[in-house]
Amino acid sequence: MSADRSSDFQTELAALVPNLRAFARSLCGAPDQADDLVQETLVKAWKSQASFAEGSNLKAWLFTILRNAFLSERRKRKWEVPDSDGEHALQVGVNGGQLGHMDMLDFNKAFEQLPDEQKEALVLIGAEGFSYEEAALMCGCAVGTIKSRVNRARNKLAQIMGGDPVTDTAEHREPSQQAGSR
Amino acid sequence: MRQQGEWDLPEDNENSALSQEAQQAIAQGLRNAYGVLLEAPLPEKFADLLAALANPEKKS
Repeated sequence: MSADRSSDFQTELAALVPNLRAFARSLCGAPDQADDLVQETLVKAWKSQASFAEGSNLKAWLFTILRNAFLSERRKRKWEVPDSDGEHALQVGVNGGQLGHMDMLDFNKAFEQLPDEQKEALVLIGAEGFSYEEAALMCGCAVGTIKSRVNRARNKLAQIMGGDPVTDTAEHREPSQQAGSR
Repeated sequence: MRQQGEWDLPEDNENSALSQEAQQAIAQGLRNAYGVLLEAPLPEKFADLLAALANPEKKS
């Protein structure tokens, strides 16, 4: 790899560190763990830069590396996922008042109660601006699954925040396995 | 790629049971919360790490 390309790659990585940190924080919450994930991602990306196709989506590639590192770390450390469907979280609820007047603390509390896969779908689509197709590739699932996760996340946030009372009915559930896992 | 936060598209909402107002409020809440994370000050360690990766023989 040429020195120029390596330098460009370093610059592009540096520019995306804030996004990587924000994504990591939204996944694991704890700042120290999030920074560890970002560092691990940068090291892996650097070592694998020869495999990155120039001109393709670097942010998506980095986010995929970070996501895989997060999942691997979660398996290793058995990070607590006591409520993967978020059902108990909804019962706990947050006294958030009207959705139109929610403050950030309320939003953050509500967001923390979402299952991991809904958090990441919401962030990838709603905050980072990835397309559904890009997010599906990054998460290794079907486009419909991403759409469903975003939909369910919004519905749960609305419920938790005390806004629209929406029941998590069958039409809002993820497509079943037979719809294809990719 | 869409603009950040631009998710109130017809394709997103066609199956949503939420009101438009609720969807907009959630989108705004997400933008605000994520914006804070994006703008958090960056520790030097990331720049140091990238520099070390680029110049492995240089050790501070």
